[in-house]
Amino acid sequence: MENQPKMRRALRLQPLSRRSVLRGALKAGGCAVVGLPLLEAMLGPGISHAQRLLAKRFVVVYTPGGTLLDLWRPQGTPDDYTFTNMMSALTPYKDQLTLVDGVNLDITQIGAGHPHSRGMGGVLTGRELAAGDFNTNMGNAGFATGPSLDQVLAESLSQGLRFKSLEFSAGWSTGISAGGQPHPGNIITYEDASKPIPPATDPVAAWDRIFKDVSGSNEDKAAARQWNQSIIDAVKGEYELLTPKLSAADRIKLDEHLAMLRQAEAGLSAEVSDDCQPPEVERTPGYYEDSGLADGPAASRGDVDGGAAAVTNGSGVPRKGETMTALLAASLACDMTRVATMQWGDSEAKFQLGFLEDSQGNPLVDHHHGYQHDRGFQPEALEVIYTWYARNVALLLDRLSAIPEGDGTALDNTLVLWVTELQKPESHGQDNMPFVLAGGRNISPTLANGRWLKVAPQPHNNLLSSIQGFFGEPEPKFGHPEFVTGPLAGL
Amino acid sequence: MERKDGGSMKPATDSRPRLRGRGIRAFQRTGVAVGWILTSCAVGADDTELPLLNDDAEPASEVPTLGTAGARDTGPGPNPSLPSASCEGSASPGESPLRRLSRFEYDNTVRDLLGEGSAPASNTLPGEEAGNGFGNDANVLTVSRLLVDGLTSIAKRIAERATDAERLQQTAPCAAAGSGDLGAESTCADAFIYDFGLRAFRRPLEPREVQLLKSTYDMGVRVRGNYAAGVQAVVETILQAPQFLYRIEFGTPVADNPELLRPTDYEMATRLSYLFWGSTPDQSLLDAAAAGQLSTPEQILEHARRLLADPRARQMVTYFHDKLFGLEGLNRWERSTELYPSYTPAIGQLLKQETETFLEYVVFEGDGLLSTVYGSDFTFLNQPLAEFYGVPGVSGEAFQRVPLNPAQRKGVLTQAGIMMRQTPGNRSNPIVRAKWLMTNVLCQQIPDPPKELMVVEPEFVEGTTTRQRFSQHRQPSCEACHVLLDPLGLGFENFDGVGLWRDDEDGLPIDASGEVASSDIAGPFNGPVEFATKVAQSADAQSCYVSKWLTFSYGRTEDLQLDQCNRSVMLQAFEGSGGNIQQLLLAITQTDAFLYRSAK
Repeated sequence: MENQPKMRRALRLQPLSRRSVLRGALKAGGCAVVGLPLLEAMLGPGISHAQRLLAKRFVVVYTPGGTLLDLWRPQGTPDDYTFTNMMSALTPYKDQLTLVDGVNLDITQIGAGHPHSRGMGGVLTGRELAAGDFNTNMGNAGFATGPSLDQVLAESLSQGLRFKSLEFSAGWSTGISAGGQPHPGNIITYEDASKPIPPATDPVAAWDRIFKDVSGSNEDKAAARQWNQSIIDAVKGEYELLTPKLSAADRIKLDEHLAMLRQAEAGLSAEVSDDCQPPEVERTPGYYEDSGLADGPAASRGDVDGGAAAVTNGSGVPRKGETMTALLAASLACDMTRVATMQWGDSEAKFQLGFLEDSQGNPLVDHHHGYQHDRGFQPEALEVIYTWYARNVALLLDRLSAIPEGDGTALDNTLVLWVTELQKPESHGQDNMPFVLAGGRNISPTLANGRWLKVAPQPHNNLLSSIQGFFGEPEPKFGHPEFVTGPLAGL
Repeated sequence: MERKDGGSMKPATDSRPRLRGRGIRAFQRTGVAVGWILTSCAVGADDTELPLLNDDAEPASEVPTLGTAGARDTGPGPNPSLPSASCEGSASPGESPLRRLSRFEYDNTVRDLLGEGSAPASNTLPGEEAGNGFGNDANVLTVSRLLVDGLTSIAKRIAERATDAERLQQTAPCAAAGSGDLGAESTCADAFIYDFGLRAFRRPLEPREVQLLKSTYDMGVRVRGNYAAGVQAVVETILQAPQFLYRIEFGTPVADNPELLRPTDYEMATRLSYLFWGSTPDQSLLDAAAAGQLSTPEQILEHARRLLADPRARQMVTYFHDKLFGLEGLNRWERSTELYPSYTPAIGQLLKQETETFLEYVVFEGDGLLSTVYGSDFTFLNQPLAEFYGVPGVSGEAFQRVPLNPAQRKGVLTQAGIMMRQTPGNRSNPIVRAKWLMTNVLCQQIPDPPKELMVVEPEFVEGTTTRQRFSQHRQPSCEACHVLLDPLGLGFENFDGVGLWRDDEDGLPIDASGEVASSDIAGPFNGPVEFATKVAQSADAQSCYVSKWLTFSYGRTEDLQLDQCNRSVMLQAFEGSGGNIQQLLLAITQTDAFLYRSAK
């Protein structure tokens, strides 16, 4: 693969040691994350000190296939507990977490599709999947029937910023959802009903999209801004010449298009501080397939649960995910957006996990779905996998807490929600979901108190409503009206 | 709302269909293949019959079951003097929704306008799965932020490439480019805006449009200092303009009929080129439009014949068939290497080519008949694919005509790629195959399973056949739907998960007896060849194929009422020619929906 003549570019981001960042030892070169030295820089023209301190953000991190609930739960009592080995990566953040123990993904009782897909569609939208033509392994389905919470919050949180939201992934679009296109089984974020937002799959393309126009000299940046603004003005001019002459029905369609264009324009004209330093990147050949996961050929395994339509070699997933997580944090640090999502896969979870080792030190040979139920429920291997997922979540918290803001860090101004699409890996059970909230100390005093919150069984839309409330909705009721009663009592 | 209790939400968990988990566990524990596990079949059966026509749950994309095309009542209003063989009276075009270029059309258009061959839209824009299945359903496709972002970024990339040093003179010829003579460059820009604007907007520009683009050119020159940048700015703008992205139609009045409009000659040039080529009008069409020679059905038909004879028509027909027969994605199809050691995704690619080559041959070089598509005794293979099939005597990479084993295969439906594509897992799935055949080949409507029903495919158990595994799932309440599907799908059991022939499964002989539940070929059959023979002679299959073309060519979903006359014109021409596909395509241009638009 390395010898292929086609040049593949890649980012190379140095691994982040949290301690080194906090010491301020990080230099501009080589790392995606804006460390201490940039504190002053971040407060340059365009974003006032006060504005940045007021920044409230919402970030979702998704990992596939539920958890092992007994090990997800800490040992001890809600007043005095410690994490199990599986969750131990979160120990440094124990005081900044809220474990929400007891809500059900009731929305999956209705709608079309397989439970995996229902869970994906419902977890952030609080709505069911529409009927449709996608094969979900258990009946066909369409996309979710409403917008996801992150997109609803982004309307206000990201107002005036360059991007309404940014979506990142590693190990995405596998199995029955393969092909790099949205599928009910791989999408959690929705602009609106049946408007899925697929995540970025290529870190180099993601960097170009986010940072290209704000890198280079100040003259370059000014020229790029003027160019983009002039083009969009001209396109708007074309609309103005056309739409008055159209029939009402045709005008509705073009007005919809124009409205989206105006959103894009608002982003283009958004002030990004001249001092925002895009992450340093090294573009080297190899490393990433176009939208795939790793070097090396895909392997086929398995026979049920969709067969082996596409099982992918996953050896590149960890590195790609770390890079994407770093880009996510850097985007927040530069105030490109205040809403972001990181997907460590999709509900098919069919990339192979040879980079993980079992307790005997042997590499895992299968993909997550295989251990989950394709080839029988295998809790020992699953524990290894969920341990890795917890580490991936901790990685995001590391990145956010390495960005100084005010008296604290970006994590204090960011509510992180860790989600998955079901609870029980063996049976698709969707009761008692393992939701975790992290950070957000400055968003609500009830957050970041180190709570293990046991709640009575209730629909998870109540949790989504609580989050909506944290961000200012006075009477929050999110998602399907028959699956919500109001904010979660006690949160 | 699909909840059967109909009441308000119960936060407690007891409304959850518990059987689901239990069923699966029991299933795993006992190892007994109970087949489709049903959580709430009984619930569904309590208060609703399992619907044959699932009114509330059908997506808009479902093509309705066939109706017989017949003469409609002659409505009031004057006849616009257009003869349509079986439909007397005022023309009835049906809906004429505003159409956006599909990804396929966008890619062809930028290729023909600018030589951009990278298929940027198909590779980067969001999918178009919603709606009629052909990616062009104007009533269903919406605009998302993602789409607009994508259109912006591909416009930027295409404009950059079209104006780089290598391609600038091709895109916007100018002897003075780079000479420093700004006036001469500006004159070149005027010519470019006039010429490129006409081709991109598919009509002459209005003066204010020219002004706008000229000031965009000036901006480009100002910001980046040269002619190329000015042209780049114009291209980047045009590729995002609604006049380019949408097929805008205003029409012209039809004498004495305020309900109807006739597309202008330029609009007709656009209709013709996108119908036959999925691309922008060529010079000859634009010239004809400028000369006012695209007004009568005869003039339109004459151009239709010319366009259909052009190689670009083949890519459009291939696109249609790729969608209809589900060939997209076959080149990525993977299979268990243990079960199918001779299969690789490279074979999937060749299987796609086999079907495409075969269909292109039948339509454009062979007898052109649908009965040949479904009932041919030949296919096209190259050496690697022939080795995969186990067909001797084929050498070389080029696809060549090969006779089929008449005991095993006949027509397109028995080609391995099609059978494999309708096999989602590694083992044959009679239900998926049957549903696809019923909906795409015979246009019989099959309801989705009730939403409350949780179903899992029966697990493979050694020493059993697919027929045994799937026939055990019959709970009485599910029987009503599955009798529509399973017997048909089981007739294809001779094809394994990669579409190769097998006489036995796990040592047990295949029983390939099947039955079609509805349509004019309803009744028993034995094996795929007998089924193909029936389909090749089926009037319903012919009618279904007409419906698919109607849907695709109008860029919307067929309306059983309003499209009756449109469909009847197409069906008559098709039947009258003995089922000739080229004649069907030409007949599309003679339908009311193509010749007119509604004034509403």
